[in-house]
Amino acid sequence: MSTNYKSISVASHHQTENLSTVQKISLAMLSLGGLMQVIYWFGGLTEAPSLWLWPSLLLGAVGTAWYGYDQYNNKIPGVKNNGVWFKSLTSRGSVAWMLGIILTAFYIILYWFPQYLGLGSKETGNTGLIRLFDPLSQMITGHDASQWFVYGALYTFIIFFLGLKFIWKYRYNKYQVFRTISIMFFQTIIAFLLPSVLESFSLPFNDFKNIWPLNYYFFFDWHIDELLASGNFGIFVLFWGILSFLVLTPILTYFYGKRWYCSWVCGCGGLAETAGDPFRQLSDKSLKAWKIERWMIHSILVFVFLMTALVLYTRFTGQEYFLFLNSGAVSNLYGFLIGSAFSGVIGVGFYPLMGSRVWCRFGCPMAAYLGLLQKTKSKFRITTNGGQCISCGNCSTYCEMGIDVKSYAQRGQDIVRSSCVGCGICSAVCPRGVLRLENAGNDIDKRAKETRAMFGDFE
Amino acid sequence: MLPAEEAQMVSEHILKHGIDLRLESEISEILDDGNGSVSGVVTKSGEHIKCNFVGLTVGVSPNIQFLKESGIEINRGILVDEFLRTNIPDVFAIGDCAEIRKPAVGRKPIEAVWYTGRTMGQFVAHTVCGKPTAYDPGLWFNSAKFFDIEYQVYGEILATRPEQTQTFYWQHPELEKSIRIDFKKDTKQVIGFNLMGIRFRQEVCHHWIKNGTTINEVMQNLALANFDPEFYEEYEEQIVNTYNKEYGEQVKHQGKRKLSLVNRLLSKI
Ligand SMILES: Cc1cc2nc3c(=O)[nH]c(=O)nc-3n(C[C@H](O)[C@H](O)[C@H](O)COP(=O)(O)OP(=O)(O)OC[C@H]3O[C@@H](n4cnc5c(N)ncnc54)[C@H](O)[C@@H]3O)c2cc1C
Ligand code: SF4
Repeated sequence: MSTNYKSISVASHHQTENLSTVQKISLAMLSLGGLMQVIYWFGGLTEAPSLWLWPSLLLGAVGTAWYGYDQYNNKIPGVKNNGVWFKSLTSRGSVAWMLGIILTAFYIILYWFPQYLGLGSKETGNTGLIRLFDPLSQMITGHDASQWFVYGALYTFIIFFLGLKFIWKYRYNKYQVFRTISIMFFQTIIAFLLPSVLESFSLPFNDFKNIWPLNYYFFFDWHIDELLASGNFGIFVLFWGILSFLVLTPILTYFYGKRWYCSWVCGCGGLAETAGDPFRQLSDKSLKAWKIERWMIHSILVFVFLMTALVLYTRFTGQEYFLFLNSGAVSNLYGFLIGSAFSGVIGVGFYPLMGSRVWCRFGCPMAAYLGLLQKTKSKFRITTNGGQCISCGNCSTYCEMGIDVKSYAQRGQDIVRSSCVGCGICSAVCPRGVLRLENAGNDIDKRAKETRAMFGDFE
Repeated sequence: MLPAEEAQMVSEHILKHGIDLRLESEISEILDDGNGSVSGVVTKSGEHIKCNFVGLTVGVSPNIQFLKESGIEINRGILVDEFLRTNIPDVFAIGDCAEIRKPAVGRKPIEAVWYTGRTMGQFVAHTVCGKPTAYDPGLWFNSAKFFDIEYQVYGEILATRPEQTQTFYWQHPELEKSIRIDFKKDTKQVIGFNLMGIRFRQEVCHHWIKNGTTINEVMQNLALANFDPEFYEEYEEQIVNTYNKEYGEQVKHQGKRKLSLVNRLLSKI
């Protein structure tokens, strides 16, 4: 026993990644399930897809849930983020780079080269990964899978099972538990099953919680035509879409802040909160990043308004051009740049490198809209508890939106930021009980105006 | 430092985290491994404990010997007046190293805690920026985290309670959560709050203490002070029932964990 430690820090990286036996077994199951899908994708397995689909999904589900269970089981109540800066996966190490590249490549293939996933025509049928999901698609929609079905299924699967892991990790915090159950519900039932069931009744695919402008194609010609062609249901969807943007969103945001959508309902937020949880500390907290964020997200909001106005102009006047702007070209550009490249490729592909909310923070026009409402007219704020902040910075570190929460907390200023999605993690990780997400109407115009930590006697 | 019940809770928690806590032991010797590193310690009872690192934490004392010849007046700490000035013009001292010549009633000349240091920093900043402001420490408060147990204190909570102080203590039947409210025996006015594993609002506690609010009134509105995240278990009823039983009172809890009500209490609207 004569080891001379160079570092005496209790956070030292001497032993952070000791996997338990259960974790080894569950990781093996998960890898095996994934491997089955990959081999099937590349044509290594030619048996009927159902022979491999169900076992691979089962292995993945049990593996993920069991791993998450074991990771946080038998731990004393409290938040466990030990070692995040020492693990390759969560500190932009080699594992993170590899994962980032694989995810990015997957999105590129998904959006622009679905044939490599095995998408076939009606006559030839699917092959590869998409064929593997045919049985599930048959079961729910009544026809063969598309790349979007496969994507939706995997997406839902991940939110559900990593959601279980998240709930288990934060089980002592009811706010986290409730909102994660909500996310899982909206993704599984409203975003995945319901639209698929609608399709099986030959109704247009519709995700009721995907509100314009996040759902940027809502006012596109083909979409409106499709709705108008499907009778009362179509009219209802059209009505609901406009209502949810114009009435529901402002009202709910007035009462609860942006969080009712971004961290309780939305699918993009849902993935960020569950699959993205290990990466939340990677968001950039600098003032420069904040500046870029404001320029970008508001430009995209303007872009989506202009694009939609153009599309509607064309619909009602029959004119393709407004001045020099071609509505078809502009909407294609939006779909390519924002709808696919930004929200998918960068938004999720870069999780392990830039944190889990890159899209929500820099790109999402719905977030921009909600943010403007939150900032100007909402009861929501994060209250800081008098002078209790010790400037430890935990809150800022774990803010996935890159808000420097500490800078507000240490001077006792309530936090009213348009980007805050109300995930509540800052409040959970604060060691001094400084932060509380709350709503109040009677001081709505004075939110964040005073600083409570000035002087010991702050009255 | 902590009252007995809370200290007990913290000790048990430390044990749970795998730390072999020996409250009754004292070190008599630190052993050398022959290479200039430590190899173990011997306790007063003669027990030999192997180790390769020893940390000694026996209170804090200002490390100011290097100022001896500087002309700055020192005692245990660097002596400062109510503007945190030393005897030398334009030289100030704040934080752990500062010793206040005439401390406020009930406060120590040296307070080696974070909040004192920060508050002093705010005052001295005003003074050096041309708005001389005398240091006023305000009502005592502090916080800490013992592994996973958060601790907050507002006002005066003494481990050995004076004759004229009464205490009310409630502990969660299973979880590591408790609240303690100390109040004056004669007037029933609250003087301090001690929280383990439960968050309370500083401003509300402060308001109650400053205004000499009685324990009954505090009990009646207890939820206003709660600062736990939304949807957390609400145990106010349980606490008030315990209080009623112990003190033969009939207080009915009416508070709600609602910021708008807090704003009203603090008349911030
Ligand atoms: C283990 C521990 C736990 C604590 N827990 C709590 C708690 O839970 N709650 C609470 O309120 N308080 C707590 N405290 C107390 C709190 O940390 C201190 O009161 C606070 O940090 C003091 O701040 P300061 O700026 O006055 O001094 P320090 O933070 O000590 O800063 C002094 C600085 O001066 C530097 N320095 C020293 N000599 C020289 C020199 N000759 N030349 C140049 N630089 C020099 C030092 O390197 C140091 O950076 C705790 C303290 C300890 C040790
Ligand atoms: S986590 Fe809490 S104590 Fe730490 S900087 Fe944030 S608000 Fe302050």
